[in-house]
Amino acid sequence: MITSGYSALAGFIGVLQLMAGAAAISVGVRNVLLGRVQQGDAADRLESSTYLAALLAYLLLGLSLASWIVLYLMLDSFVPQWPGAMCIYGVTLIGEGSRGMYGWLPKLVVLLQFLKPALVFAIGAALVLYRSYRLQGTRVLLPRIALLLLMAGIVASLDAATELAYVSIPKREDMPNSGCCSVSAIAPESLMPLSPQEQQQLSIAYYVCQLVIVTMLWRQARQPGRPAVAWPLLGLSLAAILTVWVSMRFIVDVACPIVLHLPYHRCLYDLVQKVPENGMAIGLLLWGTFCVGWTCVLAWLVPPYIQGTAASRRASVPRLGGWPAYALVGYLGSFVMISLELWLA
Amino acid sequence: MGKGFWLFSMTVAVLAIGLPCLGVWMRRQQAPQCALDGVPIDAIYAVEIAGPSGNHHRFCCIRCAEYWRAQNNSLDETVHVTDEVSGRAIPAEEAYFVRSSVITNPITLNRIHAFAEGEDAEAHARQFSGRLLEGDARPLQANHANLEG
Repeated sequence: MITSGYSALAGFIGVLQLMAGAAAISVGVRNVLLGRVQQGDAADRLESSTYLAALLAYLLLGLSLASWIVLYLMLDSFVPQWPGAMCIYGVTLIGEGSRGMYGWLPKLVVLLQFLKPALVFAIGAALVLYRSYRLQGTRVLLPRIALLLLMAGIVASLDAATELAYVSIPKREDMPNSGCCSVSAIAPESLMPLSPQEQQQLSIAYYVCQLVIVTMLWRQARQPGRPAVAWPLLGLSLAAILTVWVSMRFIVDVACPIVLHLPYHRCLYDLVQKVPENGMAIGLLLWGTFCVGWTCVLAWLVPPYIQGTAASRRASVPRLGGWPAYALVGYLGSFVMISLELWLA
Repeated sequence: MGKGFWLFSMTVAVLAIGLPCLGVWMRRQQAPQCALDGVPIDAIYAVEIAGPSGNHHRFCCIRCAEYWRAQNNSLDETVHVTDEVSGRAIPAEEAYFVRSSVITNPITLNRIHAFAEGEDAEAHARQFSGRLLEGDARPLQANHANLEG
């Protein structure tokens, strides 16, 4: 059976996350119910319970970030143990085409890779709203914080259960017919890179998306104290989703072959493994996307009459208008890193 | 904007410019890698394809070179394989090829071996349940890419 020290660590973090997630669900349900009660002391009880909820959210944030990193370290540690694998992609194929629990492994690892960022975003949204509440001191936000924490708790529990299932299912040494993203796994026709014209179109799309999102964020960040209007932010959020999709396609289909000096190799795992600084470029891109998402959460969940209060303007910590600026730094950092990598390659 | 924001921005700026430069500088002394899948090349199994313009591509095994040629079919290429006995490069058309039970690369599952001498090829075939590849079965023939493993 294939295992490593990181499997044990991932399992340990998974158990902690499951417990913290269950506690967050329990506190979240209680707070949501308290938020619906109209009695006088219910609001006090909700407020004092929100502090515990915030502590749980910070704990969950730490655990989710740790488990996100440990997941990839664990998958990477399986590479030398699996003869057909040359990178994490090969490991994600373990169990493919098999029956029973063993055949679930590829689906579980794909699910995990979606749940990890979703969890970090959900907890971040709850904490961003909590910080807004701490700055503005209004109880209107408490039921919304409770709802977000409840959602984060559900995602955390689901993520931990998936991770524990992945870790506990034995990975037998059944060799697949083909191993990895190299020649043995991919049909010759899929080895063909994009044509120069398609690459050019994708490159143009990438630079246009970056320009559009940076311009939108620059306009938003220039007026940090101004109450955010929900509808224009819908455009910003759609632009962020499009940008992250185009950027990932650009990184895989255009940047990978150039940076790795391998014209037929389009593997994100290999890119991060062999040119590790690209991990930071992708991290900054995700940070920018998350910041846009949190801006929208604030705009949609914080009532307009408290968004631009004097208290929030005086506060030195990021407020509603602060997150677009942080997003701008993330996008610019990612863009500079990827462009520099391409130029130096 | 607060002090924290500017500190964050400066850190991102320094890392965004510094890390790629540092990374490229550190990777300059890397071992040669296969032009198809990027794995380190074991010198005894290396294959080299030289184009008419003088550009060279090195591969970790015959199978990778075959796939690469399937994508870049050119009549003017010269292909050199490595004799597994002596370790010297020989033209592909002069080599003896054997498909045996010995896998040279666990990732590509390549089983084709190259030898400069016919006796060495036959000895390898006898020892490892292999067979000599002749005629159309020979890999790396001009304008022909045999993708069998």
